[in-house]
Amino acid sequence: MNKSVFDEYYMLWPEPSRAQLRPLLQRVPVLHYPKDKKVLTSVAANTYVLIVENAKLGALIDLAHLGFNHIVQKTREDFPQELLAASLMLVKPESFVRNPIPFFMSGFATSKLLKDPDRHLILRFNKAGDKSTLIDWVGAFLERQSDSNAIRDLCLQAADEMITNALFNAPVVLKKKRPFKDLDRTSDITIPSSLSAKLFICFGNGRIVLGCQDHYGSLKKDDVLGRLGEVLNERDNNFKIGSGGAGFGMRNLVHGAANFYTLVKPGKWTLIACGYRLKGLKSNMTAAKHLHFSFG
Amino acid sequence: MGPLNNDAFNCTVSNEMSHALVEVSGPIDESASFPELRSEGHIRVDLTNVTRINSVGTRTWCVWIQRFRAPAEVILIGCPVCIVSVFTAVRGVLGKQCRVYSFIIPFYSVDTGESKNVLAVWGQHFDHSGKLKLPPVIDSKGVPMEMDVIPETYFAFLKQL
Repeated sequence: MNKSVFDEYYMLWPEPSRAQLRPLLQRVPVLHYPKDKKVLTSVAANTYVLIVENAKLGALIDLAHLGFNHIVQKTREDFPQELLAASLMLVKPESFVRNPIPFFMSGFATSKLLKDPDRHLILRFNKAGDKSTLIDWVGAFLERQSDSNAIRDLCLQAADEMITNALFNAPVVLKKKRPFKDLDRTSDITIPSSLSAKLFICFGNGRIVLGCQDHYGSLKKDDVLGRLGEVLNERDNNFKIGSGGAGFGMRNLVHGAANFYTLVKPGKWTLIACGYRLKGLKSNMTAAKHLHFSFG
Repeated sequence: MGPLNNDAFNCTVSNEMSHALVEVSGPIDESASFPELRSEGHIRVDLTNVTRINSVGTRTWCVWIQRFRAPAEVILIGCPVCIVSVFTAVRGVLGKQCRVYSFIIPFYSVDTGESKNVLAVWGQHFDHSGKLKLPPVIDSKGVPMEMDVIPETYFAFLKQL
């Protein structure tokens, strides 16, 4: 019989939290790689959290192709937090998306974090012309976090790619057409304010999480995994940049971050986020990456 | 009240004795537009004040830099981390006529969390051999700092020079 996250890892949380977490964590089955390698192709992969030790990024993408949506690294210092976030993404994706910040940062924390303006920033946007102002806001937020100096530019670059993606690639109209996808990126497009996207950044527990959520839910799993596969299989200096820079932005997001999250409810919303350790650039690039590709 | 700084792409050209000097600042993004220059001339491109480069800007850069043909020589000065990172990652960023005169190497102290940028200069810190010769970089406690890059990829472009 499959073991649950709770069965295997209840000891990660202090006694008072266990009772509270038990109903959720007992619903989430868990497998391990490479220990459970032989059964990975015979299970409903998308219902599991897969816990990984010592696997290269290319192998992780292969596991994602098998259908595992939540790949969590056991050796990382934030393993308990990530296990909680993965479990919540599996069981209650809507509640996760409604307010992802506490779950990214501290796993079921109280609203304390959200009341502290120095620890989080949420920006809503619907116009391409606002991009530089949004990035300036993110930059100003990061300047208040002295620990983030080494990764500041990396975060700004990621914010830039996320905003562009939310405005130009995400919007779809009737018959799933993407009206802005092929437009020049200098076009001053506006999406309906009711469908405004949300850029968020939060700081704490030795890391920063930067994310963007749109209200289209048009990101396709095959596109993401296919693009990442191409990038990972390319040798150095061999990546060809496509029209509008297609693909390179995604490559940069994954390459530079220690954690990468895509959570999609088709036709409803897409959430993309990156988690960065506050230990410099190399620490993020070489980290055993937590990866989430949920396209439920 | 909004943030104070407004980072915008800017590019100016001035003609020096034997070459054109192109000074680029701000983000190389969708707003980036590079000047029309004689494709066989000698050009110095100062990238010291570039703050970031996104995917659209990378493409614009590639199109511009690949226009230069022999005997043109494009000397890149003060390449920041964001630019050096794409030298290796993306084909065509470092055009055939490009020579890197100086570039930034980021350092990080695990002890103090400090970060420092060190400018590596051709002839002083690196050369055709691809080997680096850098003085020790220390943090505020006098402890040696570590390069905050993956050397195998970050410095791979040196072999192309």
